[in-house]
Amino acid sequence: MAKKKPDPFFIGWAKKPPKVLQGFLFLISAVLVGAAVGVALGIGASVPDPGDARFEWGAGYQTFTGYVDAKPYPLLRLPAGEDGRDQPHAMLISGIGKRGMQQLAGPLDGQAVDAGGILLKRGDLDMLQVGGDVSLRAAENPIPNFTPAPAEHLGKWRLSGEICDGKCYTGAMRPGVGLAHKACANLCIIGGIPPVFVTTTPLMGSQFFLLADENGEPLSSEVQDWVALLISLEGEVERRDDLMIFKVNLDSAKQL
Amino acid sequence: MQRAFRRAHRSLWLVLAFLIPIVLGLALMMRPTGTHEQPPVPLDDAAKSALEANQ
Amino acid sequence: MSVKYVPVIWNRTKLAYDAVVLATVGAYLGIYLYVAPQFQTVTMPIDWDIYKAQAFGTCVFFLLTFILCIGPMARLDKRFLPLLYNRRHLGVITCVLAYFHVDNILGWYNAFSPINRYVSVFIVNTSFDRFLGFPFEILGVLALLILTILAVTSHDFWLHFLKPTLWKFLHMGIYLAYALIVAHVALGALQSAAGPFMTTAVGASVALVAALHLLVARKEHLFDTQESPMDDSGTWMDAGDPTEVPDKRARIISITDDERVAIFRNGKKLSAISNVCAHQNGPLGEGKIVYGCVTCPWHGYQYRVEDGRSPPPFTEKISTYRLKLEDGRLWLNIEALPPGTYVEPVVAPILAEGS
Repeated sequence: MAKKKPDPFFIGWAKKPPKVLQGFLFLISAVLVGAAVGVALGIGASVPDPGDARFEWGAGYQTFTGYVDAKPYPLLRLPAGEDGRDQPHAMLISGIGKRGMQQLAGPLDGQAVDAGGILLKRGDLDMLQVGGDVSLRAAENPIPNFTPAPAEHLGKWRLSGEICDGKCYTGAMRPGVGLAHKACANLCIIGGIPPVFVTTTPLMGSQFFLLADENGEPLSSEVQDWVALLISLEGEVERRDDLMIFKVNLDSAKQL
Repeated sequence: MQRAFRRAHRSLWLVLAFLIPIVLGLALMMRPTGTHEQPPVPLDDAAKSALEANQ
Repeated sequence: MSVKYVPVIWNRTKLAYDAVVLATVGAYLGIYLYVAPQFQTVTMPIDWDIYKAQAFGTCVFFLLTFILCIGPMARLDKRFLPLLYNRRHLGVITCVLAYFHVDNILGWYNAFSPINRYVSVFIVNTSFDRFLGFPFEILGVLALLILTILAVTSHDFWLHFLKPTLWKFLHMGIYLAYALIVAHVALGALQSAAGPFMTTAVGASVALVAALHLLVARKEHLFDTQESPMDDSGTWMDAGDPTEVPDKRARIISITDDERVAIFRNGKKLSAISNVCAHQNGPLGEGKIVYGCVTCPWHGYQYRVEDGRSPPPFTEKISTYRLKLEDGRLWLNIEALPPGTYVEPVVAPILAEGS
């Protein structure tokens, strides 16, 4: 007679699993919880750095006086010293949320303005989220003896990089780049936020380019198909103060 | 019916067990990485002289 | 079982099962959200809403991976069968977590815009002709739709309403959902938002799921193509040596026509019934005779071995088959009798009780 071997059989509706299986099930449970802890820690601790991009809530509500360019996308042109910089500065502006400043900036194009809001900063880049009491209005006390310098033309280039929306990239969202963020970037661009080109390699010290079409007008909605991909683009580069503008033909876009 | 179900189950997995890793692998291979990077390329004389002036 | 529907019949096993599941999910989310950030090397933390969406999203992916491993693991090693019993609880929890993922994404990436956040999912990215840049959110929406349908129809009411075969086919949708979710992750998070650890973990999960299913498919295929010899009349199939059938257990025979038959031994007596449980097509032959009834290894449905009927008050019945013993060999008549037909068990005196 062979010795009777244990033949455990689990029945779901039974009060308890068979004794021989209890140890195994306990082990499985421990392995499961352990794996959950390990994987969560591993993934959560190794997220890529979204960069030093933020709203400058600490600096509070700020007001700047300068000129506004409505095209290709609304820009503030600030004299040296206005932003704590020793050179004139061109600053992107946006409305609150995913809205551009076209409506207010359009009629004020080329005029002296006051702009108030919260700054977004990413390293040396900044953008003003315009709002509050001052918002964007004709300047009450224009800065004397200041007119923005004309644009400097830097020739035709092929650049490689990623199209982002200027607001999320400069600090409205972390991370504000990449395909996972594409829907958000497209919503921003549809709402009038300036699309920007962040290049993989700097050109004359700059990796951040405001995009425009070949005539310096806002890009067509076709740009949405190219957002968040690594692409090369061709077009004229010009510089307004310290801001590079890349006037591209979207037909030249190639996915890399 | 039982065997039809098992067959359907098995054929489905024979497809998925290859299809899913292929999609994942392709997506990972096509990810933009350093090898795709290209430096700026000047396309006209104005660009070249601007570059020289900058250096 | 089938007498009356109550939302869920709770017992200690189920409570323990759900406690382990909730502990696992709680540990994952808790560690991801509150412990892991202390080990990050970031200049500025990731936005809280996005980070929460990552936590829920990855949790859904790994839960689904685990769910898809239970089936093949239980077929390769019977000790995993207890994980199968309440698998649908896991599925429902996964579906709920997926909604948290979506809620966090819609409340952040798709918010703050003049366009309605639900509408925006479908209209802001129309690059359907691209691989990279494809609106991967839509893949997630389709997977969520499947998960929702499966979660809603997970109760036994739907199993009886749709009949087991249709219900099982419907719930095979989970594989499609998994494929959609892998593509959703590959074309979304893995393109930019994931670190190397996550990429590796996703790759390993996919490899595990695919390998386990292929392994089991091979095992099943080998079994199905086994052919036992028939007698001259073509109705009796050689079912082997009766002493090789373990007591209270079965041998499964693959018959040519349509399905498998389970030959059970209860002491000295042998009986043959369909291998297919009337509940969810579970493999009865991998079950055991408990309290005198064949008990399905999946959900514990029971049948009397002589007539294939569930003991009262239950009403399930399955087909029975005739057996005969000739010269110490067992023969199976491959013609199925109508479900619930009584067949006198074959007594094999050479079988000693309990051996």
